[in-house]
Amino acid sequence: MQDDKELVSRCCKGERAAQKELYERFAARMLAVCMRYTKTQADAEDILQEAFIKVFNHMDKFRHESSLGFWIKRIVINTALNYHRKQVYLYPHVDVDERHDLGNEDVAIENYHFKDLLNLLQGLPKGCQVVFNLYAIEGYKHKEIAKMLDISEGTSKSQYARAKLLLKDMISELGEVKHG
Amino acid sequence: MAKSSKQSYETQWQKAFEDAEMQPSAQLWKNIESDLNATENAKFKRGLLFYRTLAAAAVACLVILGIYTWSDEFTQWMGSEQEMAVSEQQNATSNNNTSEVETEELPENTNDPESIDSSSKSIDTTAPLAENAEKSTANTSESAPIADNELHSPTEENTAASKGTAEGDRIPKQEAFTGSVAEKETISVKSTLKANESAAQRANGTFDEKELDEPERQSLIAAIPAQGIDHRGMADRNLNEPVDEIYPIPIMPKDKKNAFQPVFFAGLNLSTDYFNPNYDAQSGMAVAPNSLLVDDLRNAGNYVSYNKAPESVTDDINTGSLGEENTAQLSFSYGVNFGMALSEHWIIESGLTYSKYNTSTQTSATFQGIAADEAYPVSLANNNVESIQQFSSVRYEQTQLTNTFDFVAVPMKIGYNLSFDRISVVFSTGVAANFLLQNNISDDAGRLNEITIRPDESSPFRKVYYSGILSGGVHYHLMKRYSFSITPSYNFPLSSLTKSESNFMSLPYLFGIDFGIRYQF
Repeated sequence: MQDDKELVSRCCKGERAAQKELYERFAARMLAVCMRYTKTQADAEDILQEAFIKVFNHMDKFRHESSLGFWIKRIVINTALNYHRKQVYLYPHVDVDERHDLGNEDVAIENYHFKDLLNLLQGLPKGCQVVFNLYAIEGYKHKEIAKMLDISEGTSKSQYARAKLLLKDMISELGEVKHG
Repeated sequence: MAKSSKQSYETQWQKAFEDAEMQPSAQLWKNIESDLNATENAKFKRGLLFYRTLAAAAVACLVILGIYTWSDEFTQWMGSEQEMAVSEQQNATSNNNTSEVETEELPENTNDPESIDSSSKSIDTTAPLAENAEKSTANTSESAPIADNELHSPTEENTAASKGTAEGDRIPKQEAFTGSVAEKETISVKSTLKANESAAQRANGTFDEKELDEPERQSLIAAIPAQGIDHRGMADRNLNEPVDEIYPIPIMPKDKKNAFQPVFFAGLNLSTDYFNPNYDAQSGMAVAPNSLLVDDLRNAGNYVSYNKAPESVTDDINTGSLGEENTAQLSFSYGVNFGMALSEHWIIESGLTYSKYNTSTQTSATFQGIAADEAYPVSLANNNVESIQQFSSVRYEQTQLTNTFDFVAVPMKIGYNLSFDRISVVFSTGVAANFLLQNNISDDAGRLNEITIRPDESSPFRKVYYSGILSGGVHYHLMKRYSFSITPSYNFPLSSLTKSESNFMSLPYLFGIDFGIRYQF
């Protein structure tokens, strides 16, 4: 924590070495986050670049109320969402009542490496991909996701349900490939 | 069961990505570094431009003051230099033409008692420098052949004159003359001779004043009143002592020039101000959709996702529907001022003033971010602020705001001064270059995040706007060099604070009362 404070302080002064140190400490972890919201590494790096510039330009606003990693991750996610907004204004709307019946059986993913799962996520439609990330991995509620993405709460739920269904099929296929 | 299964499913995903890391390409840091360098360069250039402008203004003021001061000193110096040159030239001429002076000039004058008076009159009071005095004395010494042969002491001269002897018609020696009249003043031999020569030419009707250069003309002017005057009659009638020596002291042009000396002053000032940015929507801006938007927000009663970028939101809201109307609040300015009195009545003045103007305003809408603490007020001025670019959720919410503007101003004023004993009244007018440092918008309740808008490329504000100044103040002279002043002033816009492409216009005006203390050099 003390190291973080010193590093932040040096970054606020514009010390390039400190900025590079902070980048090297968090870049790899944040790139993995960006990858979950994009289809390609090039897009993910674009988001990461924009996010780190925001981090450095607004470093003086970090008040150490949360961890430095959490603060940076929030900026990365916001940047990723903004990136999506620029590209897609409207997610395909699927009414809650029309969603597929998923049943209660979820597929276990414990044995899969994150890169396999990442490939699956990147195979989802954009809307599903973002909602699934926000709900399942980041832990936001549908109401919050609805506000963040400018969609209705029902749309968020249906997108998530659709994502789960698609992932279930993908994981089944992946399992078949892996096991035989 | 279903719930725990679902939680388990999401936890699995969270765990799967908990420590996920992927190495970015090496080029990525270079790109970031390049962007940061560009941003810093832009900031540096903005800062440099600001300081350059300040420096230019300061230099311009110094140059104006310097030129005025230097021109005065230069005139005096030129006068001294010319006198020296003439004196040296005359010295050389005297050495070469001693016989000519003896034969052509002096014989005519030696018979004329008035020529002595003219000679006496030609005291050189225009040689204020000791160096010149020494040179003049030295020149006189070098021209000793003339002095020894043709000049003698005023004591001798006047004694002789009073006796009516021929010796009394001679021109007085410099050393004795200087000693008896004014020790600090010297006699220019050239001037003395010229005066005699002029007297002779006048007598012959061949005198041409146009041929004289300035120092000669001054000497001549000094000589004229002495001609034909009965010196004894000029003596103070109350004197009981018999008058032996009378030396008329000329009034030189320099004395006229000294009637007014430029006066420099510098001071500190504190102002209480009421500043209003006077926002107004640009003509042609759509009003109907804005009202609809605000109405929608009001009816929703909570957050409404607005599927547009923030700049579009503020583009759509007019001043009235947003409820953003600034009211001037008590503000303060601090600064230094300096200037000079050009004449008895006219003064010029400049300075440097830092101002923090507070205004009160309100807004009907709030940008809301993902987290609860990421909320910003919607304002006409903040549509391009980077920190709120990522928000598109807006809600209707009446919020009282404080809108603060930080300026550094460089005024340039000319004033007319009327003095009445210890009090003087000054009416001034001028222009001021007002450099915007930043604009802060904050929620009075402290619930919303503060927005800082700097005059960069994305800002709706210009870096500098110009205003006209009208002021009238009273100065009370407490001591010889100190004075206190109270000066009400009104600043009106000469240019807009906002850029032409902005979605609103700001034509600020300002009322202020300035309290100052001033030192007169």
